[in-house]
Amino acid sequence: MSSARALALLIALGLPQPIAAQKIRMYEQRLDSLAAAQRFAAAARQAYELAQRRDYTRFDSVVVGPMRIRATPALNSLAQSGADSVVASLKPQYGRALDALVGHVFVVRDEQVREGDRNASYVVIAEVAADGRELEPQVVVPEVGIVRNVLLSKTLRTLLANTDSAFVNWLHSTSLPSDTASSQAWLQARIDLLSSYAIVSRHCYEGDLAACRVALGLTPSRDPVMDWLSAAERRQIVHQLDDRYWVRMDREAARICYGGSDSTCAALLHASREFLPDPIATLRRSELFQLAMVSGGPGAMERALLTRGTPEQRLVAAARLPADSIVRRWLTLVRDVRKPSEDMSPIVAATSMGWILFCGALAYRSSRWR
Amino acid sequence: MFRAIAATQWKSTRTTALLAAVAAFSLPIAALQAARGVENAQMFINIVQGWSAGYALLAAGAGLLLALAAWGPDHQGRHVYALSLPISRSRYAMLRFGAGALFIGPIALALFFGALTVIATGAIPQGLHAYPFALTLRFLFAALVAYAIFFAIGAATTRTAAVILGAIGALLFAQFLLYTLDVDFNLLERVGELIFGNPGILSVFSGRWTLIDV
Repeated sequence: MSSARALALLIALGLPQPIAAQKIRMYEQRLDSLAAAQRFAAAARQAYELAQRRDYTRFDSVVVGPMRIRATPALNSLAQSGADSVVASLKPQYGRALDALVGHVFVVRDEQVREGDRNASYVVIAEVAADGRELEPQVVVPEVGIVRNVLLSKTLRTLLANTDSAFVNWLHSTSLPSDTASSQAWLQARIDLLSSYAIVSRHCYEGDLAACRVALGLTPSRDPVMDWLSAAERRQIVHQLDDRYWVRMDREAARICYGGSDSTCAALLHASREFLPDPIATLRRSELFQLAMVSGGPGAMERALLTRGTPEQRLVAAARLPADSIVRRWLTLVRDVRKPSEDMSPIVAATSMGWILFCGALAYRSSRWR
Repeated sequence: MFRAIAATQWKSTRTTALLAAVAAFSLPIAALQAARGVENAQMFINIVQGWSAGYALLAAGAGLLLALAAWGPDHQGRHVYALSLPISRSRYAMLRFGAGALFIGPIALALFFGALTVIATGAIPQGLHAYPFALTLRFLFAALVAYAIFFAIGAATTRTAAVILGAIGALLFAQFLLYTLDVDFNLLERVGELIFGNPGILSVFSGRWTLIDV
């Protein structure tokens, strides 16, 4: 056999075999069966949820401002004090935006849970859908503080869901902020910026406000692959994606990318855009609004929610400051907030001194005689 | 008198103290070396904090060995030297205690210089901060607590030591009994919380020991 024929044979053996039509049909059938299973599961879930619908006519009505709650008589006062606290705490910041709650009903009811040989009483808190289903019920212990916190979180979630999808998608959170950010949040933001896989975050930390706007998603990026990453990072991420078995990557192109062709790396990443996470955690976007609460004063979140426009326009309305000023303040806090060392505190020192003196006293009183 | 006691005690302690000082100086540098070249700040912090246990163990070990060394000559000489001195037992014990505690100082100082060396290398990533004073202070207190505990045990009679050991044994036995009787109560965990939680005797050892943090 000539070497050319041998080579042709080797290539033929090495090439992936075409999938037979029979096999394709088999895969299609399998896919169909999976889709059917998925439809069955969804229907079963819906049937279960519908079966859980309750008759709330015998429940008490608790109305606090725009907040409406149906509560079992035994939990009426718990629901009332929880709702009072939620509305009182949100009113200064959310103002008229709370009116969006009028169309929603929450339920606070008791639930007996068998624990060993006894029944334990818990509280179920949920939003009630128009068809009577309880949406995302949460089971908690019957304590005022806990019930209040769950009602607060459900209220903020409902308020967010009432805004437009562009804002919801940008915020990428299940809830709106209820309070200003803690110093721990700024420290975590610093770690986020410094530990990001994307150079745009580190440029932001170094003071580039335009980079911060991109990292925070205030300036939408048309081409994240080029806007967020350096050439070296593009190559590194291709490498990381190439190692993941679930990512279909053109191995030959990947090899060219490793060889130094940035355009090939970029092309590969463009094809795998869905695997690129945001440069920094989207939680940082909520912090912008928490900062806006400080800058904008009372009614900041009311203005944010009642303003129609882009997330940036909402932010500007909330803070009553230009977006760049808010981002600059955010960056200043991220860079400058310090925390005291966890190593030492006056309590640790005092406790240690006490024990040293105590043990010293024991030795002092020890006997000469063995 | 204190100078004489300290001088004699130094002879039995110097090897331990010097070795502990070398270890204390090296620990922050070793932590930095392990974290060098990592991809990002979060990983750097994680690796450096992974060495936290080293500081606690060194403080405990140094305290233990210095306390044993403080009473070592007396135990070997069957306390004849102490009895021959024209001072009370309690004063003698305090002189020994003070002399031993003095030798913890250089070890803590070595840790401080090790931490300063880490800072001087400039290898701490941007945005992170070093806390050499707080770490050194905590090490000093932890070592002194360990030293004081073992010094007190060393000063006690054989009977007292037996009582302490017996109490530990009784605790383990009680936990074993609870386990065999299928009682859902973790005695050791509760005792551990009392000892290591604030204001427990070993609370200074628990928690994070961080030379470098945000």
